[in-house]
Amino acid sequence: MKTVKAHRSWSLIIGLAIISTIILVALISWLWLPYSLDNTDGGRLSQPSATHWLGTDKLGRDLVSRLMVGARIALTVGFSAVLIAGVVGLTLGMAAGFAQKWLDESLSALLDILIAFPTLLLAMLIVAARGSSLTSAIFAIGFGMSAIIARLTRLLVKRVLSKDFITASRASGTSWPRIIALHVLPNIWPTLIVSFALQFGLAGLAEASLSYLGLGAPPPNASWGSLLQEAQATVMTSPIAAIAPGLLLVALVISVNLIADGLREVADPTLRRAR
Amino acid sequence: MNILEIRNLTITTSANVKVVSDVSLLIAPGARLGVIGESGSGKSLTALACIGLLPSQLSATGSVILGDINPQEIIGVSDKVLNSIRGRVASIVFQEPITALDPLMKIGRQLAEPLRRHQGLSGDALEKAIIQALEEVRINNPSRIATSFPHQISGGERQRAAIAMALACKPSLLIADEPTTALDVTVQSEVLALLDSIVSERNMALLFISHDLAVVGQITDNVIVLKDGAIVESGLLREIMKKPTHPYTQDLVKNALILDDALDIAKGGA
Amino acid sequence: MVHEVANLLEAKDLNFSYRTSVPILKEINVHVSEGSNVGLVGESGSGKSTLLRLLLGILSPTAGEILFEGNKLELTDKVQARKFRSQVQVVFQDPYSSLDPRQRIDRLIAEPLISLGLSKQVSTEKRLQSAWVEEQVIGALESVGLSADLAKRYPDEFSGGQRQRIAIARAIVCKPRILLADEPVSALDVTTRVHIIELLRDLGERNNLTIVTVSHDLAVVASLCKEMIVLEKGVVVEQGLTAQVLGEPSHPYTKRLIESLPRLKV
Repeated sequence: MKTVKAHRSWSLIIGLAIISTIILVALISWLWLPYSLDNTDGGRLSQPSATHWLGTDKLGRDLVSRLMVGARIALTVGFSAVLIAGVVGLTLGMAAGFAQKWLDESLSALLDILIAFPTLLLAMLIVAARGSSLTSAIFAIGFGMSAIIARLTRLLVKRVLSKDFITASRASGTSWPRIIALHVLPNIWPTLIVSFALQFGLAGLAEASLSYLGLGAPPPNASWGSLLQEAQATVMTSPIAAIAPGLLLVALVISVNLIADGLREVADPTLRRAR
Repeated sequence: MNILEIRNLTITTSANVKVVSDVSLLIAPGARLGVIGESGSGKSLTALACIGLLPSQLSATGSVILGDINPQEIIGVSDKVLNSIRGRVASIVFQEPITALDPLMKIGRQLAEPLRRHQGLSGDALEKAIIQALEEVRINNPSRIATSFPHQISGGERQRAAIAMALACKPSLLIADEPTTALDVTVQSEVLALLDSIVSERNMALLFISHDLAVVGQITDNVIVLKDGAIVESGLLREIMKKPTHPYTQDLVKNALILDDALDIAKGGA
Repeated sequence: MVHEVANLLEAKDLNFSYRTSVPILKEINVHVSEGSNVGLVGESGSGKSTLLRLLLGILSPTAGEILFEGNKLELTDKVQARKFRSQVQVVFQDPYSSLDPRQRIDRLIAEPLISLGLSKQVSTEKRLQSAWVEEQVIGALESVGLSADLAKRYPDEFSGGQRQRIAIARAIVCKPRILLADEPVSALDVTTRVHIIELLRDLGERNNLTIVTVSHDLAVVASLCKEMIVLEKGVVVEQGLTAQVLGEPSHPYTKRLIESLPRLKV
């Protein structure tokens, strides 16, 4: 496998820096929180102070602690949804990429339908069936995104299969499974990785939307989306409670987009070299 | 007055790499010049520079003056000025007709555009002019071609249509960048003959670019040889074939002759 | 014995068309004799590249058969498939599409040796297998005029001509008897073209390799092939010794092809 050549990409560095901070915060939250989430002694909607750095919410819970747990949730959703989307999407996409004529057309039509299906609607269906929970949200988001990954995979696979080096491989007696491992996957990987990075951010946003609508994990869910939803009513008196989770969401999405840009620059040698 | 005068044309990339170095050439009205160059020689960029079509990430210095009646500097000039020149003073035919033609527009409509603009035609007169333009490039069944999309006609027909479009505004200079390279051998010789006769009939000047010495030799004897963006040799093709002076040209001629001779050797019986 | 040498690879009453479309090849009968290079000549739509792919066994005939060493080609039979693939190899036209950009060239060249189980035949020990493979790869690189220290590089570090040499190295590494080449020099500059033709000719002579090349360029066929076959719209219109076909063409299409050639006037 070709290793990534060291190439200065500011997008990648900055993006990684931001997301590392978020990951660090999430990791710390497993070990230590300023206040436990049950603690409602802070006084309702208090302003930022020495004891509560960003103040408290309407139930007296410390905002910083809730944000830290929210980081954990955002990352979990991101990774899990991308994992589901990746596994399902890659499999379907590969199948479609190799399929010919009617099978290909059927699979593509199926994928188009899935993509057109609003994630929120899908989430509502799953929630209606299984009840509102973080897992339901993750599955809804994961399946919704898998169609996009599958479409992209299909396109990339078809492009690779049209190259002469695949025919040369077959003429060398290489079996199809080996061709996939040796030639197809390494060639579609760079673009897919970029797509995964982007989907990560989108998953975070999707979870926030679901929680905002009450379709995500039930209380005492501390996801940034539910924090936003709760802060809605009191935004005039305690703007921090809305701004903070909003900013963190933005930071998450920007960081993965920067990473995606950086990966594009670094990982694909054919883009870098002008012939 | 020359129809085209290039002086010290240098084209550099954004990374400061010179892709064309100090190229100078001139073409008198009605005269022909062949540019022989292989890939990476800068031949296509030189052609694009003549009508101000260089991609934006490249910058050009030097002087390119187009036109004999109203000579106009091309480098650094506005699009508005360039648009008034393109098609009218000089036009260009590319290698791949499938990319030169809009895939979503019928041939007739694409041809109508320059005809309408330049000759102010419309309605029936325009229709007739379209058919006539296609007949002039010796297309069989011009009405069928006019109502077809590019992908519905053959490569040779596409190239003829592209030539018709280039000639629609009656330019004084035709720039042809590898116009027959992508065509089948039998079609190639027909299109070459077409170019030869049209350019003669209309007394046009011709800048003909190709990597193939034999093809260039069919259409003009005056040539320059480009390598890595610079002119390494210039003069009459038959003189250069007999006595190439630059090492690159020597190699080029030697190898072209090896391939050409092979055709005769095989006939002689191996 | 003579029969086998004469008909190393053969297409018999071959027809081919994709599912529901027009026939691409009709009633093709051609054979390749050992030691006599063959040129498949034609313009676009002639079916020459399709014929090559049929001879390579990458496509299956709609009717008729492909015979290798006198036996019908049945690639479902693994043993026969392996033998065939190690004896019949291919080089393509586009040097930029025929090498996997994400593999090092030593891996690329070694692929046939590994996929065809040739390394396993040498020894059961992995270490000895690897050593043998490396030896073959270096040998192949040197045969095509590239130095062994380039083995660890990636394709995008090479020029078009060098890539074509690498593709040839991959094709000859398992010492095949036939090399099928689809327009092997069309995408190259004139000087490189001549070098690659010379390389192919040398390899043919030194390694007992018969070359079947598709080319729209008659000069290439004239330089390399003792015999030639002219195809027009999926049908063989003329075939025979190159000297004969070029010198005294009988079919009008062949005559047109030859007359259309732009010649150098010296």
